[in-house]
Amino acid sequence: MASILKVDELRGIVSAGDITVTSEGGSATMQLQQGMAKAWVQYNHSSNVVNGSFNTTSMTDVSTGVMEQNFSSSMADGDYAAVGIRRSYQFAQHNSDVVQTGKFKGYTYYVSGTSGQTTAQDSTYTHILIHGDLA
Amino acid sequence: MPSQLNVDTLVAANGTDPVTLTKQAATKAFANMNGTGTIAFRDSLNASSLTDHSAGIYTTSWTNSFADTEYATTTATNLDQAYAGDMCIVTQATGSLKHKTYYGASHAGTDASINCHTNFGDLA
Repeated sequence: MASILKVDELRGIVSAGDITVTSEGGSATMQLQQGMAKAWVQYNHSSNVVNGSFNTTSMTDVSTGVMEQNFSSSMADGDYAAVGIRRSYQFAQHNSDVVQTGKFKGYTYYVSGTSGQTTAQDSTYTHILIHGDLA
Repeated sequence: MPSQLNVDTLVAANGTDPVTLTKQAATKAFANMNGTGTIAFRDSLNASSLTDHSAGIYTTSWTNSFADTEYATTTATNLDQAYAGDMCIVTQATGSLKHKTYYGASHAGTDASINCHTNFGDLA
């Protein structure tokens, strides 16, 4: 019979932020906290509405195609991994800004020229996922 | 009153199998890498090394291999330039991920300063 542990909060003993779990195949262990997504959002940029989110206080509509995801709890540094996708077209990390611990800036666009030229565009469905260390 | 459990390692009740996270799944690997100059990880999980094949084409090797090649990979790069850029999967192996960052209509490989990927699935 499977056992279920019901608890509201888990902390490590040696280090509060370090709990080890075993892999599905049983041959490896890894830190539980590192595998957890630290923030995500599904954002309607066209109407500036957050459909769903985690660790995200708000989205800032910077300009056409450019948005900022503002974190509730900041990341430890600017080295976190951020990936995203939008419906039909392209998503990129915003190239002209330094990555900040308190927010992430993304950019959506479509290919508007035969040589691959781009034009910024708001998307009705933009998805962003953040992994890394929280402060 | 909220309960708090202090523990260093979580395993299933039989002492060996992995625990189940209720309605959640953790990523098994991620990376943020600099593809310009001397390539390097800025931050990573379960990634041991990088191989630079040619412009924009790299292999990230895993510290702990995946159980199979059916894991889910998502990517993003910072190529928001005048010409469309993107980052895609070249090949997925249990021990590594080969990926390509490219731009323009010809999809020419190019080195970007930020290349990120996350990977979900079962580890071996």
